[in-house]
Amino acid sequence: MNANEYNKAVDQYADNIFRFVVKHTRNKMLADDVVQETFAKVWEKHEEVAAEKVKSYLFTTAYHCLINTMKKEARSGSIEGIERAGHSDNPHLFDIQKVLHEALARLPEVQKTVVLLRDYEGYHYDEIASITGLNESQVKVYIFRARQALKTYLKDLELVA
Amino acid sequence: MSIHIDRLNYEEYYLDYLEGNLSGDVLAAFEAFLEANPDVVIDDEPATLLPTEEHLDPVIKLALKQTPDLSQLSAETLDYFLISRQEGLLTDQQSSQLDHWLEANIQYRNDARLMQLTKLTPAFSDVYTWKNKLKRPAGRIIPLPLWLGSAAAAAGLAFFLLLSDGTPENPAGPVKPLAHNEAPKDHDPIRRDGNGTADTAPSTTETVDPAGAGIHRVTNYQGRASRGVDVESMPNVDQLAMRPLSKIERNSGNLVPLHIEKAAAGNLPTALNELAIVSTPVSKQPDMANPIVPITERLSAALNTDVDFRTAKAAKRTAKGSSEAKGGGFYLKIGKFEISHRSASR
Repeated sequence: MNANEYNKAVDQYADNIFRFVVKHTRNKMLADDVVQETFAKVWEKHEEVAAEKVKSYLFTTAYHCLINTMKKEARSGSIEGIERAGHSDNPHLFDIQKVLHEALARLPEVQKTVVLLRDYEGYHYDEIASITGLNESQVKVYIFRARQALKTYLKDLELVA
Repeated sequence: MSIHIDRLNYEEYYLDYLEGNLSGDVLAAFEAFLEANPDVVIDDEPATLLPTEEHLDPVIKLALKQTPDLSQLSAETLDYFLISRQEGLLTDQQSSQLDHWLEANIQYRNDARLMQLTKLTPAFSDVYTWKNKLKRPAGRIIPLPLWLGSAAAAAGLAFFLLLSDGTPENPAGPVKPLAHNEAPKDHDPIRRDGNGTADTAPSTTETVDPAGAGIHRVTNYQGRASRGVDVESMPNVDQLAMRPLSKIERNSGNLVPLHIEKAAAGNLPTALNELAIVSTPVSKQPDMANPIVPITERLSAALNTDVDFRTAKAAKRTAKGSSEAKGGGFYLKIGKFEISHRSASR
């Protein structure tokens, strides 16, 4: 991959990487740092990376940078115990996506990662496995668990409302 | 035969005793030993392995399978099949069968609706604003064409010489202008090639002085033949302001001065006397010579066009306060591009 292809990858995927990271960190400044670190690492190895595989390489690098960052930030989360967003508002008008992203923030990191890669970027199970270092069965299990958790959260909201 | 069991060897009998493999005299002897030594009695409850219960979530267990098996569709496994449909793992037939099951079990239709809502959509308002800082320079050095580089070098050289006070004289000797009606001399320097053949012949052109100072005759002493170009067809000028009139100028009837005309001496402020002059009689033209003949020749050959550069010494004052009749300045020509500067003679 030459410099022109690298710059093209910046235009194509910087926003995607940023969205992926900011959903994890919920901190745009932190996400900026991760994005910069990601592209800096990719530039160091750009001669070894094929242009057609740069997207998966970027997300793999971003994922590892994210894990390192999150370890430093030492965040923890479980979906139980989350404050029910929109509870005091009119339950018929709350933004589903906003509620979902609140719930997403409470998922374990690995479940959050696989769901974001699946829904935001449309990766297949084997691609997600390659990025995260898991196997396909593990990816499927994490996605299933994450979706169950999100559905349960929405269901609980409706019951409370 | 009596069997002797004591603290040193009882252990080898103990396991058999626990398993009930001792009998007869051996059993009686071991039981007598245990009665005599109650501190070595081991808890006689048999050790057993507790069976572990399988604790895997059935939905997760189903998720590990390659393809969904609708035979296991139930209220407990409904989530699995709903997620499978959302992940695109169900065939059209299987999806239809799931719909039929939900119609038969209306209480679970809300679960199906909520599961469809768990699909995340990215917020496209989140954009990375510093993309330009991530990019790397990808330009390449484009070599300038030789002609462009040579022209830039010549222009820079001319600017440099413009800033200097004087210029070296032409080693071939100054070129003196002809007086009015004066014929060229035979011994005038003419550039010759290696065979001794002159590459240019002295030619005389006439220009009209717009100020009415007369006809100026210009003789090309150092005409330079550009490769492949007929010298005599080129307007060669060896004196500033002696440029032959163009065809337009000649035919217009109204001769337009090329430069500012010199006013009568003493009528203008001092500064104006330094302006470039056009219509100066030939006899009063300052000496103009090419100080860098090798360079201009090389440039001419490289650019395949006529390159000429002439300078003249600046005006100098004598000890008595009057200046010599010499004007400074320079003249640069590259192809059709010409630039000149002239200091007035005093």
